[in-house]
Amino acid sequence: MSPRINQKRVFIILGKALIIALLIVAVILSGRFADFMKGHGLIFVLLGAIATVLMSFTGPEIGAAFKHAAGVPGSDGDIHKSILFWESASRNGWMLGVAGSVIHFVLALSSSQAGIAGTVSHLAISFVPAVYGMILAVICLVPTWKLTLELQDKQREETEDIHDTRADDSSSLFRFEHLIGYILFIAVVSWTIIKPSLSNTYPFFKPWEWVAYWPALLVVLGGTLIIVLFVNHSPSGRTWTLSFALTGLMGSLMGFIQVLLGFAARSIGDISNAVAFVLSSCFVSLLGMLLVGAPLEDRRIKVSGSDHHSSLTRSAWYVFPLLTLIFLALAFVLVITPMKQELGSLP
Amino acid sequence: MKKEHSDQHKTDSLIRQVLKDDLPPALEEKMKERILRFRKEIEQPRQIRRRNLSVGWIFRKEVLAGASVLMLVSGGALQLIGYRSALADTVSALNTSVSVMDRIGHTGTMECQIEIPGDNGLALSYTIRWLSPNLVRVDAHKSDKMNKTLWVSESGIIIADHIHNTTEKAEGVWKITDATFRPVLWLMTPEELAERLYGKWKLRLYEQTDKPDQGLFIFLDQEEKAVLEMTVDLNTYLPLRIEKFLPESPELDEKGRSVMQAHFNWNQPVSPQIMIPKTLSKNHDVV
Repeated sequence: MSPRINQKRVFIILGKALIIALLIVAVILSGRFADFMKGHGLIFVLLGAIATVLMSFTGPEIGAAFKHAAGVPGSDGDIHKSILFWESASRNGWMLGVAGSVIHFVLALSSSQAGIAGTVSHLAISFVPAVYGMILAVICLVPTWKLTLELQDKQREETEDIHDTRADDSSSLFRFEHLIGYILFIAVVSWTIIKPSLSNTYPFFKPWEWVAYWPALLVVLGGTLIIVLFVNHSPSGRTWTLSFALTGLMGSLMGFIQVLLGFAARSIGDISNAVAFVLSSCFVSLLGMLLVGAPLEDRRIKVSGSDHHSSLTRSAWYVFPLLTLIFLALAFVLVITPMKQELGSLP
Repeated sequence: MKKEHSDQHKTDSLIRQVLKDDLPPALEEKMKERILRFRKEIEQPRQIRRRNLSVGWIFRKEVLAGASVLMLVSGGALQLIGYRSALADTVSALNTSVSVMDRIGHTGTMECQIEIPGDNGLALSYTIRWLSPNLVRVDAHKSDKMNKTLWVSESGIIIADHIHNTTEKAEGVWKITDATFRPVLWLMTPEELAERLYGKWKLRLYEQTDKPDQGLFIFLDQEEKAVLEMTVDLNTYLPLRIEKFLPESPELDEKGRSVMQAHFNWNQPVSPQIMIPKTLSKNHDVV
């Protein structure tokens, strides 16, 4: 393909992106979707997505992925890396959206609102970042599908080339971009958690106290380490991802059993303790998957001969955030469900 | 022998000539790099092992396994023994306030005694009785004398002035113009009180009192710029006492800031007869 045709294709794609952006702006300005606009949530998802891709990919790899998505041809090996990039970006978007929802749910609880109505409405709006994450995931899946189909159509004549590119060990090393990614991610999470409580006059609690909720932190980290050690294999991203997902799930289920027992005992204290445990377990697990599991696995895939992520890891990445979202909805219902009075005190 | 040696030399030269090292310099460089990397990889485990030994016992698998089991067990134990967190306390506060609001909306009868400190020690007091959400009687007393009575029923609101022997009608609770009843309008019906909890009072604090079955809420009424303390019964989720304070100021002590005290008695039998405005039964149309 000549450079001129390439340039034309890039302009066409930019034009399409501009039209979509204009449509989105029009929808926002119409005011009908005001409840779906949450600046902090959007910034968290977007900056978080940038940070997480930097943790796994280098600058030239990211640039190439955008070029390939825009239709610029490349070798099979490079296109393969671009597919991996877009798939990882999609997965990160989804996980970040759910993590953002958990953070905003806790932030809504931490700030004093005008009446129950105010708090409940803030709790409901905290689900919006998950919508942003889902939208970002879908947007990033489009180039994945496109490039996968293109690659399938192509004859695999340059097999050697593929192996040669994949065997480029420089991508497995810890690069400067990865460090920037980690720093940016930690900064985005910290900013999202700390910023609202600084502007709140009467916070019920400082949100960072919730992040260090010791029972959940110890159970998830301890459980994850046990599984990783039990696997008795050099700890890969896959092991970490599955371990975090499993311990997060275990913690959540433990929490829900405590909720049921709390209902049996009609104890709001027990129920709220369990809700805190569920939320923290899910959050710590998601954070572990985003910070440790996903980048390690991406970097491993880039240098190994395997074509894609394993289905088990994929299910952990997509199913666990979905379960977290369901748990969050259940926590919402539990918070706003009134307790019935004790039988002995009925009029 | 010499011939044999010469043949060998010829063969060597031939092999060298045929299989001569004609790799391009770039590829040769790459190959060297690979060999170096391969060598490094082989030597790495040995180096790591050596480093591990020098770092010490911290990264030994057994120690890590022990530490993680300890973490898991202590985390589970902390949760089971009821480790309290600020988040759990907030969830508890919110759920209790939702339960209180729900109970107020579904309650049977209520009798409430209200005291408002007045000037020169002349306190205003009120007795509010709810027989049902739409059947309410409020008696206003000044200096222990019944001053006025207000009835809320499905047919409307009637206010009787016992001193001037007049009556007045109002179309809605918030349309009552009589200054006597304005301070207690928010307690006029279960809906009014529940509405305050639902949409107006900002929750600032919730804690359990010294009594195990009582909780204390502190709300901020932004409209009236007042602070409200509500003590609730945690068995029934109904308010026992509400005290209203002026905002904190250096000139006023706690007693001086208190502007209203309400004590509640829930679900006690209330005679339906007191809900019938007897004085008005003959002259309903008097305004």
